[in-house]
Amino acid sequence: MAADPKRQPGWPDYAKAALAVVAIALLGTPLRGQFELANIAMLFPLAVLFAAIRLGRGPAVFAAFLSVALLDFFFVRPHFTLAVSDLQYLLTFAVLLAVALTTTELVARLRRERDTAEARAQEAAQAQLAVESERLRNTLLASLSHDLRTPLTALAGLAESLPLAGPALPPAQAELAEAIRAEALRTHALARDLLDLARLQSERPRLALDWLAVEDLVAGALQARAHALRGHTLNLELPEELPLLQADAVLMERVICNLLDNAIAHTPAGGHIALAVQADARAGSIAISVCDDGCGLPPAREQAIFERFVRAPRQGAAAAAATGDAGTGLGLAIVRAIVEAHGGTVEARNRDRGGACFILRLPFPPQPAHPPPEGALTETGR
Amino acid sequence: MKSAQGPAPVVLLIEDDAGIRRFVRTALESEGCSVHEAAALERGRIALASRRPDLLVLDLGLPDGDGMSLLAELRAWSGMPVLVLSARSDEADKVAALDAGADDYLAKPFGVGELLARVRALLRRAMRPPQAAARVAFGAVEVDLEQRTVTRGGEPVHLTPIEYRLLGLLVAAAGRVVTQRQLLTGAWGPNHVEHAHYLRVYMAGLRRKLEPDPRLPIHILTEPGVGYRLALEPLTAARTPASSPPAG
Repeated sequence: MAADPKRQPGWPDYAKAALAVVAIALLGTPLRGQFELANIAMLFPLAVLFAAIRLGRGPAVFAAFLSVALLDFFFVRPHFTLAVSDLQYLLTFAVLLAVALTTTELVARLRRERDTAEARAQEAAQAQLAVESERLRNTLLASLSHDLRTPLTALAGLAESLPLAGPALPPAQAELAEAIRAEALRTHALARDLLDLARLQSERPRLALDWLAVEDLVAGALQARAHALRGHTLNLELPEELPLLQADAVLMERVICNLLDNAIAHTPAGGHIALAVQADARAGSIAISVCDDGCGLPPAREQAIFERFVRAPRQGAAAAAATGDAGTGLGLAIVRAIVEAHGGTVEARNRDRGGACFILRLPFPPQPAHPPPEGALTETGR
Repeated sequence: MKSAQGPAPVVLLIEDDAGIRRFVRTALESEGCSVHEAAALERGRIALASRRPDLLVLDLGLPDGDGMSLLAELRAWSGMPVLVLSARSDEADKVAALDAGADDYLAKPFGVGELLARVRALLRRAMRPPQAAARVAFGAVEVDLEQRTVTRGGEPVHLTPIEYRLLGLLVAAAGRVVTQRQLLTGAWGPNHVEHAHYLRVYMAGLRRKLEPDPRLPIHILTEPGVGYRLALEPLTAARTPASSPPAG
C-alpha cells in the first residue's frame, strides 16, 4: 500500500478523497433515472474504500460524509439542493454513512496492525544488530587488550631482568633499564585506560556486580598506593557499620586509586590527603571523598577535568615520580565513566582553605539478610 | 632456590610469548631453579610427563588450546603447584583458574619481584612436610592448628566456629589467594556460594580481632573480584606500586 504509515494525511489527501467522491458522482449522473437510487448509492462506498486504503482515516471519514452530501445533492429529488422530499431517503443516507464509516474503521484497524507488526520486526532487527555490534566491539577490545599486554609484559620484564642475566650493571645502565621498564608500564597503563574507557562507554558496560564492603575498597586502594603515599600524611575517616554496595570490585578500587593518584600528583610532598566515607541513609547513598591541600583546581574548570586528556598543572616532576607514572590524562575520565555506570555521581570542587576535593556518591541497594546466627548451623569447630 | 638444600627445583614454563619466556627463565634461574620451556600446549603436555617438574608456570591463552584444559587434566593425577599467567583482565577467568585447581595467578604485566615471591611461596609449600605447619604466626597472632587456639600477643582470642574455619582456610593457603567460592563452601557449605555478603561481614570481624588496625589490614588482604589472601609477612610484594602501575 502506498500510504506511509507514519505520515499524517494533509490537505492534498482530503482533496484527492473529494475528487474520488466527485468522480463517482459524475459516473453515476448518466444512470440517474435508469437505476434505483439505492443502487447508485452503492457506488459511493467504493470511493470511501479507496480513500481509506490509499489516503488514511481522516480523508476516508471526510469522503463518507461528502458521499452522503453529493448523493443528496445530485440524485435525490429535488435535484441540486440538499433538501429531501421523501423521508425514506434518510434511511439510504444512514445506511450509506454506516457502511462507509465501518469500511473506514476496518481498513484503519488493518493498517494499524500492519504498522505495529512492521515496527516490531524493525525493532527486533535493530536490537539484533546492536547485540551483534556490541559483541564484535567487546571481542575486538578484548583481543586488542591481550595483544598489547603480552609484548609490554615481555618488554618490562626483560628490562627488569637485565641485571639478573649477568654481572651487576653499572649505575647508568641500571638506570636505563629501569627507564625502559617504567616506559613499558606507562604504555601499558595508557593502552589499558583507553581500552577500559572504550569498554565503559559502550551502551551496556559489563559490570561484575557483587556485595562489597566500602572498608575493603578503601583498604585495597590504600594498600595498592601505599608506596606512593609515603611522602604524604593520610587522614582516614572510616566509620564502622557502613552499608554494603552492589558494585564491580575491580572497577571501584580503580576509582579510589585514580583519585588517590590524582591527589598525590597535585599535592607537594609533606602535604595532607584526606579520605572520608559517609553513609546517608535517607538518600540511600554512600559518599566517598578524597581531598588534598595541594594546588587546587583551575577556577571554572571543575567539571572539565573529567574530560579525556585534560590535566591540571602538576607539582613538578617529583610528584610524577612519586606515583611512578606521568599520568595518562584518562584517570578522572575513567573515574566518571565507572561511577556513572554504577548509577552514581562524582563532583570536584576547590576547598576554601586551598586544595581540591573529589566527592563520589554511590547508591546502596536494600541490604541483604545477615548471615544466620552460628548456633543455627551444625558445628564442626571447637 | 639458592638457600634450599638438595637438588635445584625444576620449573616447567608453558608460555607462547618468547619475550616473556626469556625473562621468566632469567628470573627463575637467578633464584637457582632449573627451567624447562614449552611454547604450546602439546609440547607442554609431553614435558609435564617427562620432566615431572616441582612447579608449573602456565599461560592460559596458548595457540593450540586453553591452558585451563591442561590444568584440568593435570589435577586428575597430580597436586603439583601451578602458577597461572593471565593476560586476561577479567577477574572471572582468574577465579575460574583458581577454582579449577591453580594455586595462584599473576596478571600481565607482572614484575620480577612479584613472580619470584609467588614462586618461592609455592615451592616452599610444596617442599615442606605437611605436618610441620601445626603452628602459624603472622604479626602478633599465633594460630595453633593442633590445639585449635588463636592468640594475639600471647592473649587468647575468641573466634566463633565460622571465623575459625575461615581463618583455617586462609592459613592453609597462606600467601595464596583463596577464592570467594572456596571460602563460602568451606565455611558455610556448597549451598551458600552466592552469599558473598556473609564473607564481608565475617572478614570484617576477623580483621577487628586480628589486625593491628582493622581499617588498614596488613595480613587479611582483599583481592578485588577474586577472594582473600593471608599475608604472613605484612605487605607482600603482591601489589607493590612497581608491579601495578597507577592510572593517570
